Amino acid sequence: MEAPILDDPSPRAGARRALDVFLFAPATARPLAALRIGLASVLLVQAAVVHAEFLDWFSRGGLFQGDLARTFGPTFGPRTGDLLAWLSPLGVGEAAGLRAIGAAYVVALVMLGLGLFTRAAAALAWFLHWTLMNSATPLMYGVDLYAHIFLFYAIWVPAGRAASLDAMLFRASRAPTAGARFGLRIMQIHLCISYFASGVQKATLIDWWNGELIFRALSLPDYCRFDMSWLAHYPAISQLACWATLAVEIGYCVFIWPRRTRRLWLVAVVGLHLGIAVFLGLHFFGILMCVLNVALFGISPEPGDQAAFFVAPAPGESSTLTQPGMRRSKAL
Amino acid sequence: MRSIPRRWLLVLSAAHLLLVTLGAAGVELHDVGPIGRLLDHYGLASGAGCEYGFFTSRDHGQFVLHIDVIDAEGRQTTRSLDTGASHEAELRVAHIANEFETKKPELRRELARSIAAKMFERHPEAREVVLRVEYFVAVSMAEHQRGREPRVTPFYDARFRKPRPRLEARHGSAHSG
Repeated sequence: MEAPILDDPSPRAGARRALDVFLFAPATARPLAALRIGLASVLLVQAAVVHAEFLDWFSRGGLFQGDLARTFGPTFGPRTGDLLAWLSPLGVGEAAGLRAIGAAYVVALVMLGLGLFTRAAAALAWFLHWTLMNSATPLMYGVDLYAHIFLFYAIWVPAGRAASLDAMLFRASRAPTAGARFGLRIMQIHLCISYFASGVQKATLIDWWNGELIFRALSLPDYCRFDMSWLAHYPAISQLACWATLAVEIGYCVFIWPRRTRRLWLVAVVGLHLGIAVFLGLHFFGILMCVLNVALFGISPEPGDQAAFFVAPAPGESSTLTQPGMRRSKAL
Repeated sequence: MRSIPRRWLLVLSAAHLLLVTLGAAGVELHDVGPIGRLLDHYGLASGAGCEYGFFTSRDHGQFVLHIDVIDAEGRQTTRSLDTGASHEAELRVAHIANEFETKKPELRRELARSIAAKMFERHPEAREVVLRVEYFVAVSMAEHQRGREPRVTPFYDARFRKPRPRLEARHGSAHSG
């Protein structure tokens, strides 16, 4: 029976109610749709930018000749060689097979962005993205890691329930659901864990406290986009930037939740990633992280909010736990 | 959602987020028996096993790969592994230099051979390809103020010559000098 739990004033029942509201209060799929469209768009632009290198990166006659690519990276997971082996009985050669894999990846991303057969598109995009990651591991970096994580989530969350062809063509219900809230929460928590871990690992290094790390990173050939050597004459700027990075990353898991501090933290973390994109040249990583942050924390999932972005806190509301839309949830 | 599926959902999600936390903390599950291997595989598939230690290297350097192409007249030009089409490609390809850090000399040699073969294919005029891997160490702010330059230490180099056509069948496409 659920009713007694709602009426039960004990702390245990209260905690269960709060957890239920936090995880399962019906929510719209707007943030999930923003994530879906943003993620697919970033990956499509990225695919367009690097498409000229595709055969060089993934063919046996490319940068990693023969079976060399297999010696790098994880021992588990699909590789382009496996898919090509499946295609070879059909008479498909290596170059044609790789082009087919690349085309399928692009089609999957387009369908994901449009929200057409959303879950199947997400599953195909995730699988092919993982395959490509495993097939040229030395070429991968943080952007691929986060794309992989959130493509996986896109399979499971109801991302096609808003701003999608699925919703238009198949008249899928756009009503708020507990599933949308739950999927959003899991992804939000995952993002918090990743920032916290990243921040704590940075905080164990003295270079993040005395400001050396940012100066040195900006001097490395891979990341040197501008002459930033003048920073050496103003070490306080570098030190402040390092401290701000630590504060934003470690504080993210706390201050991104209350509505009073969410806007500040969102602006700070977006600023951090734009800075990484501009000054370190990690454009796609920076943009993808902005997309993830804005989608997961900047767009309101509340059914009553017509203005979906940056809803101002109502008087007396300081936490997502007290948002009006959440009170409609049934108890566990 | 009804009560029971919600509980299952909670259990599965809690397990997933626990793996995310363990992965973020750098805990390796692969060697913890068959269940550890299974969880490790799930972590790879879902991304739950990822680490997030960006810019947390304790040394202050990076490996840099230089490729010199030398033609029949002895003219030397420095080439890049990427096609120059985009900064993104350039950034990714630059990461290959880190793979030379491997402790397996045969793998290092195999990688160098593979890169050289690619360069011979791209530059048919090339008679020799020289790979130089250097370790670049950035200086501190105080060192920079004292006028010190970044330190560049040779780490690995290999020279590959294109065999003459009539010897090609006997010696293969490339060999290190």
